[in-house]
Formats: sequence, C-alpha cells, structure tokens
Amino acid sequence: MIQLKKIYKYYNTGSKKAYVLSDVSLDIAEGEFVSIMGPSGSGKSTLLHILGLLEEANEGEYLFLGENVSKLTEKKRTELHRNQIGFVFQAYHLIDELTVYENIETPLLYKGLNSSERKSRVAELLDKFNIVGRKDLFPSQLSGGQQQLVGIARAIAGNPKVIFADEPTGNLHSDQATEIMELFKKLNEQEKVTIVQVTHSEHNATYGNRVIRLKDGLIQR
Amino acid sequence: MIKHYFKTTFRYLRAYKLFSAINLVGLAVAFSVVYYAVLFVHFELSYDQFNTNADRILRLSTNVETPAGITHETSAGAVAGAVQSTFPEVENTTRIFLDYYIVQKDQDAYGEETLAYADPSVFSVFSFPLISGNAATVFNNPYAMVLSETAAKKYFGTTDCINKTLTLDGKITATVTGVMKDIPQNSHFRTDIFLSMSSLIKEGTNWMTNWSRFGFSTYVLLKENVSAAGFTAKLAGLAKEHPLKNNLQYSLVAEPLNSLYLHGQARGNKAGATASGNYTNIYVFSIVAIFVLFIACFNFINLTTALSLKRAKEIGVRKVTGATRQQLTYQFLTDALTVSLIAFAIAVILCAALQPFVNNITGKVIATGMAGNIKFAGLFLMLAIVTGLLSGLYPALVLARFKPVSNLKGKFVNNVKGLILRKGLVITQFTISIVLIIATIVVYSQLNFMQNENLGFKKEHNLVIDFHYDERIGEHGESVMAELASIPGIHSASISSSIPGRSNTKYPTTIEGANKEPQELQADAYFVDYNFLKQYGLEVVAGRGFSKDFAEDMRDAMVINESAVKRLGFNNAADAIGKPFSQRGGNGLIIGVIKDFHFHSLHEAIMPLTMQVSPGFFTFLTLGIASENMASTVSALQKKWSAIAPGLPLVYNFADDTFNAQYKADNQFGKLFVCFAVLSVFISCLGLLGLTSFSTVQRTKEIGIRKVLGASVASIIALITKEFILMVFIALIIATPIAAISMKYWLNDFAYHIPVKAQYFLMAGMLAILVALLTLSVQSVKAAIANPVKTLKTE
Ligand SMILES: Nc1ncnc2c1ncn2[C@@H]1O[C@H](COP(=O)(O)OP(=O)(O)O)[C@@H](O)[C@H]1O
Ligand SMILES: [Mg+2]
Repeated sequence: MIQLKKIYKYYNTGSKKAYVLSDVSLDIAEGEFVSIMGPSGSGKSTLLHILGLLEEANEGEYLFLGENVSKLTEKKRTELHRNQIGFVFQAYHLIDELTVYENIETPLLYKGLNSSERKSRVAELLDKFNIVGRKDLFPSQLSGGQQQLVGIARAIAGNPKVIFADEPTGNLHSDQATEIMELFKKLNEQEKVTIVQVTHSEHNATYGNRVIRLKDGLIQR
Repeated sequence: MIKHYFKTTFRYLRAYKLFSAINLVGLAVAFSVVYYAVLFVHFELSYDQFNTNADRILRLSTNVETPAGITHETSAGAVAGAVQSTFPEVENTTRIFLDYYIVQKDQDAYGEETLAYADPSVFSVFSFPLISGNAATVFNNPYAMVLSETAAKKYFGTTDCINKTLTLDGKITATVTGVMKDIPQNSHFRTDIFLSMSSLIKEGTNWMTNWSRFGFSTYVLLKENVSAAGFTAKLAGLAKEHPLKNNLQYSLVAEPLNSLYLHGQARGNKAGATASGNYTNIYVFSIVAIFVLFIACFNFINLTTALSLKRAKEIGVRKVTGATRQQLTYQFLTDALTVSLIAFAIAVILCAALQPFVNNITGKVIATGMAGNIKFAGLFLMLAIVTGLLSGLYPALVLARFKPVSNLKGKFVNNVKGLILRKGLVITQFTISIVLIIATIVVYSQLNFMQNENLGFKKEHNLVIDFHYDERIGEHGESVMAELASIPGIHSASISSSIPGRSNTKYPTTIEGANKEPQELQADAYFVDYNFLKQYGLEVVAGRGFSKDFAEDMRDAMVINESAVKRLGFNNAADAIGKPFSQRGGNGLIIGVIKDFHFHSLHEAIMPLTMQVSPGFFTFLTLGIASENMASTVSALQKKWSAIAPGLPLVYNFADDTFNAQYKADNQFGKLFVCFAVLSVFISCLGLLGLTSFSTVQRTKEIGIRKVLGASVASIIALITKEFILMVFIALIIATPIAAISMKYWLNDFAYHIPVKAQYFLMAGMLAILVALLTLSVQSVKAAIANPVKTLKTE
C-alpha cells in the first residue's frame, strides 16, 4: 500500500543542509498497524508528514496505493486527504469553535456527503465511541482523552484506508491512553484500517504488529 | 455546504467579539457616510432636473464689456419679448424678478420673505404644477399672487385660500389667485410666493422696452429638436440692434438650465437669491467618503489577517480533513460578506436615525428616507456586497494558501509581507485621518478669521432696520432719526441704501483718472446720509467726509474707497481729491477717500466703491445702540416705530449678524468636515484598538516573562505602543505635504485668507498621537498590569 524508496529530507540551515531523513525506504502493507519510534528530533513527525502528504521529500520516490505521489497537484492531494487518509494529532487539533458533532461532520462536508448521509454517519460514530451525550459540547468542555476520541472519530469519519497518528496519546494519562490504543486495535482488526502511529511508549507499540525505529533520520535495522 | 460556511462565520463572530464589533461598527459608519455622500452628490447634480423640459430651457443673461473687464448682469425686461417675436425656434419665454418683502397676514404675524415677480408663462416653461387656480389667468391683475402649499398653510392654515389676501411691506394688498406645489428643493431659484409681473412693471413705465435696466432672469424654452448652439449664435445680431444707453458693448449669453446650479455665472446684485453649488465640494465630499470607506475596509483586512494567526490551526485542520483551497476561500469570503451585510443592516438603521441631523447639517433636504430612495438602497446594498467581497478577497487568498503542516506544528510565523501590508494600511488610515484633521483645523481657522477679522468698519452695537423703502421713513429721514435717537440707549442714527454684507447695486461711474482722461468704472454705489461714515467708523484717509456745511455735498460730492483710487491709477489717495465724476446722470467732484473696508464677504476682493449723499434709495436705518438694557431699548423702539410707520413691521438685525450671514455655506462646509474628520479618526482608532488587542494577546507570554524578570509597567506599555506611535508619526510626515497643498488650494477660493501655518500640522499631529495613545492605552495598560503568573499558567 505504501512504498518509500530512498527518501531524503533536509532543511537549509545557513550554508549547509541539515538532513532530517536520509535514505529512508520502507513498505507498509494494507491492514498493517505500524509504530514508529525513536528519540525526540529523530525525524518521526517529518516521516509521518511525508507519508500523510503534508510535506514533500527532497529526494526519493513515494508510491501510495501503487501511485507515484512524490509530486502531486494540490487538487489530487486534497482528493487523497478526503478519501484515503485520516490524521490524529498529539494536540488533538479540534476546531475550538465547532461542537463535537460539527467537528466530526467537517470531513464529511468536504467530501460532499448530503445532509442525511452525514447525519447517519456522525450518529454512528458518536454511538460507536460512546460520546452521544457530548455531541453538543465544545472541545474546551472535554477532557484530553475525550478530545482525542473525537479526533479519532473525525479521522475515520470519511472511511480512510489509513490513519496517521502522531503521538496520539502523548498528552494523555495511561488509562486514557489504553482506551485510545484499544480503539486503534479494534479499528485495525475489525475494519481493516491501516494504522501508522508515532509513539514514545514501548507498551503502546505492542498494540501494533511492527515497529520502525528511527535515529538521526535513519531507519535502524 | 453554504449553511456550514455561515455557521462557521457566526461561530467566529461570536468567538471574537471585539474584532467583530470593530469591523461591524467601522463598516456601518463608513456605509452611512457613503450613503449620505452619494445622496448629497446626487442631490447637487439633480438641480432643476424635475423640469420636464429641462433640456430645452436656457437662461438669457448679459455680459457687459466695461473698460475694467466684463460685468455679469442678468437681463433686461425687454429681452424676453424681443426673443419671442424674433426667433421662430423659441416656443416660450418667461421672466422672473426676485425681490423680498415683509409679508403679513395680520398685524402681529409677519416675516421677511424672498418672493418673485413672474410672467404667467412661468407655469408652462417650468414644471410648477398648480393645485388650484388657472395658469392662464392667475396673473391677470397687479398684485395677484400664487402661493406654494407651504406658504398657503403657513399663512392660512389651508391650501384652500383663493381670493384671500396678504399685506406686503405693511401697505400693499395682494390677493391669492392660485396655489402651486412647492418648488422642489433642488431648484436653482426658489420662492414660496409668485407675484404677477404687472405688480412690478406698472402701466406707463418703460421696463418693458428698456434694454439697459437689468434685474430680470429671462428663461427661454426652445422648440423640440432645435439646436441651442444655433439659437445662441443668433443672439449677437439681436444685441447689435439694441444698444445700451451708455453705449458699452455687450453680448447676450444663453446658459443651459441643466448646468446653471453648478456652473452658472453669478449675475447682478441679486445673485445671492438664486442657489449656486460648488463643484469642488462635490469632489471633496466624494473623495472623503471614499477615504472613510477605505479606512473601514483596511480595518477589516488588517483585523482579518491578524486574526488569521489565531485561525492558522483551524485552517490546517480543515486542509488535512479535505478542504480545498477554493472551499477555504469561500469560507473567508462568506465571513467577509456576512460582516459586510450585517454592517449594511446596521447602517440602514443608522442612516434612518441620522437623517434629520444630515439634513440639518447640509442645510438641505437631501434625504427623505430610504423607502423613498429604493434605487439608492439597492445601490447601497451592492456597495456592501462589493466592499465585503473586495476586502475579504485578500485575507481569503492569503489564508487559503497557508501550508497545513507548519500551522499544525504551531510554527506558523507572521509572514513579513503580511506585516508590512498591515503596517502600510494603518499608516494610510492615519495619513487620511491626519489630513482630515489638518483640513478641519484650517477650515475652522479660516471661518474664525472671517468672523473676527477687522473688516474696516464698526459692526458691533449697530442695529439695522430694513424699512423696505417705505416713504414715511425714506422721505423724512432726518426727523425719523431724530425721534429714534431720543430713545434712551440709542445714541446715533444713519440712513443708507445699503450696509456691509448686503447685496448692492453697481453703477457705471466715470471719474477722471491719473491720466487726466475720464475713466469708466463699474462701481458699487452706496447712497448714504451725512452720518454714515461716522456710524460705521469708516476712516477718511484723504480729503473729507460728507458734511451739512457744504451745500454741494448733497448729490454733487462723492467719496470713494482706496480700491477705486487704485483703479483710477493714482498712487496717492490725495491725488484723487477734486477730480470730476459722473454717475447716473449726475456729476460733481470727489471730496474724500475712505480706507478700504469689506462691504462683501472675505471670499471677494475689495472692489471700487462710491458713496454719495442722496435720498431716494434709502432702505436701511442703522442705530447705534448701547449694550446695556438692550431689551427695553428695543421695546421702546418698537413702540416709537408703530407711531412713525403704522402697519410697517419692525424688521431688524444686527450689523455683525448680517455680515456673518454670508458665511452660512462656509459654516456648513466646516461642520460637514468636522463630521468626516471625527468619523475617520474614530474608525482608524477602532482598527488600532483591534490590532493592539491582538498584539498584546500574541505577546501575553512575552510580557509575562518580562514582568517576572522585573520589567516596570511603564516599560511594558512603551513596548506595546512604540511601534504604533511610530506608524502614526510616519503618517503625520506623509500627511503634511498632502494637507499643505490641498489646503492652499482650498484657501485660494478666499480673496482674504489665513496663511497655512506650521502650528496647524503640529496641532493635528499631537491630536492624532494623543488619540492613538489613548486608544492604545486601553489594551496595553491591561496587559501591563496583568498578573504574570496567571498569563504564564494559561500558556
Ligand atoms: N521547518 C524546519 N526547519 C528546520 N528544521 C526543521 C524544520 N522542521 C523540523 N526540523 C528539524 O527536523 C528534525 C526532526 O524533526 P521532527 O520530525 O519533528 O522530529 P520528531 O518528531 O522525531 O521529534 C528536528 O531536528 C527539527 O529541528
Ligand atoms: Mg514529533
């Protein structure tokens, strides 16, 4: 499903290039649950952003669903974000001015679903995540764990093939973290959603079926 | 989707109340200003257009070529008839002669009114529909009168008043023969009372055939499809056939009715009775209104782009959840459009509330409610939409282009281009505001100057009675004045044909000049008594003033002013003494020269003036009155007056008020300018308030840290305000030359004006900085005194 071939990413700092990723090649098959681990600053987020088409690599090739996506038009990229890719963030990144319901609804709006389709999809998700009672609250009225549940609901609302999660439990205490991890596992196993998460916790990594370790922008074998 | 756009918009309006309020108030005020500016301009351009035949109506006037240049006269009474009978392309002609009378229904109710003598054809040339009476017969008799609805209601309480009568100047009985609809406000001449022309041109007088006696406004209605230029070309021939009595060359000119108000030449001494507009004012107000709108739009752009820093995360999230750039652009345009439409709604209410105020300040009824101006309301709505779209466009494009990743990383930094733009807009706003402040200061200094400048005559404590040429006073001046002067509190009296500030008649006057040749002057002529010079404190600089001791002073002696001396070519006033003159068929010698004084407003340069002692033209009595016990003096005067001239109401004014009445239009201009300046400063400051509130929020953490490290409140305030004050300062530097040049131009309209002084700029600059500081202090003080622990904790 995902193939990276000899990916390089660098920033121009002053006169010389600072490499964040060097010679990264990897394959992720459909239905996998992959954890990316590594020390702070090793390039995990950068790798995830490249995988999620939020950033472009400077060198190398990226095939997503067999298609070369190294250079994409903005339109094509948006298309993939709408239909194939979901994101979960460490800081949740809910829209503060929208309610729980509306936050989950947002990707469906952009996807162009009609009102009744949206209603039933959001209702289904609220039900599934057990947050029906909170649908009219605003993010600021929720705990971190609850916010992250909404974040995940939003990420899967559009039925993506893959979810990229950057330290999804980084701001949560362990009970909440476990709940989120169980959820990922369930999504992965029952709905066959491919999951790529960045995590610092070896324990969290055990929920997945593979770990990719990064150090100084290099994959450790 | 559209529903979602609007929902998001309203959520944001609620979430950022201060920003929303600033945008709404700013735009609403600006829309109102533009609305009224458009109405004003439209009103000014609409003059005389209510006449169905406006395109075919010309006003005939006379340009007389004197040695001193062309004098612009109205037309003689004979012109209309001659034109009508000579030129087949003329469908109709009508003459109007403006005058004023004391109009009375009964002894106690009276007032001075301008009215007009008119030919019956006035109702067919112009569109003045009659409500009652027959246009063909209303003017069959002398002192037949057509009233406007307003006048009819004022005097009789009803428009049903045919055959009722009014008394003119306390002695003439005029009979109502018709009632007409009010002449629209946008007519270049207006009257509430028309009198039949036969009231003016009595049987046996030669006004009808006299080609030299001006005073009529003659209007020609051409037949359809006749070229006005072709007609005008033929007028030269007609003028040739009818020479003036003094044999001066002249030409008949035809001015189209459509351009009379704005471009018509002021003509004759009654010029003041017709309205005339000012093209410059139209430009000034259009430009200023657009500026005010710009200022409000700049606020919108500034605040939206500033706010975008706060919205960066949201934009990033929307992008990764699948929003296209286009959809985001629509979202921001929806925001802008919504704000602008809400502002429009507020503006509609604001405009309705301000209507009486605006009409009052412009001195005209330019607005009659938006319902009556649906066309404008529609235009106005369009303006709101276009404004919303245009000012939303820039932020929309910038915001939609944000890269999601940097936003989500929280690494979004204020981009330099945006910052420069924002600063540029703030500087522009303050430049406009400061220009307007300077302009206001200059306008008011000039108005003040005009009202307080030494006019060269004594205007205080002079009570002036206009007795409307009543013979009981005019022919017994000496005894009337003696009687009035016996009233305690009245210490002197003088009688004359005119007083400073009142319209006046010019006469061709011949005086021997420096080259020993008789020189023709078109001079303003005052006919006065022996006491006039003293009464008005006019200083004799050569020769002597009038005196009863010299028999020739009655009619055969003349006093001239310094301007006349100069015009005659003398270097010394004394050189003019003893020179022969002739005027109006009489002649004699120059006996004295008086120092120039302003007998017209300071708009006009002082022109040659002649004075003669000559009863017959007298209509003003000037009384020197003590300022103590004024009320009892006036009531004693009232009593005496009714004994002297029973039936003639006492109409009086003070000389200084009469003179200052000439500045009515200038004062209105000044008031309008203050409004504009205040509004633009207000909206600019709203923007500043928004930006500081934004930047203090941005810097909350920095401020907190600084305070923990020991920064004083003052240094924090300085930190926040420094940048903005610098911008205002730059604005002042840019504004100074712009204001200097434009105000110089404006002042040139006044023959006598103040210089543009550096202190005006300093004052304006200080004012702008003060207002800006006050605005800034609201936010910066709040930030500076906030408890640092709190702000740091919330981070
Ligand atoms: N825009 C940028 N400019 C320069 N350096 C950057 C930029 N973004 C990230 N980096 C650097 O790239 C490296 C990897 O960052 P990141 O992928 O966020 O690491 P991680 O998520 O593993 O902590 C870090 O050293 C960071 O400083
Ligand atoms: Mg990271």
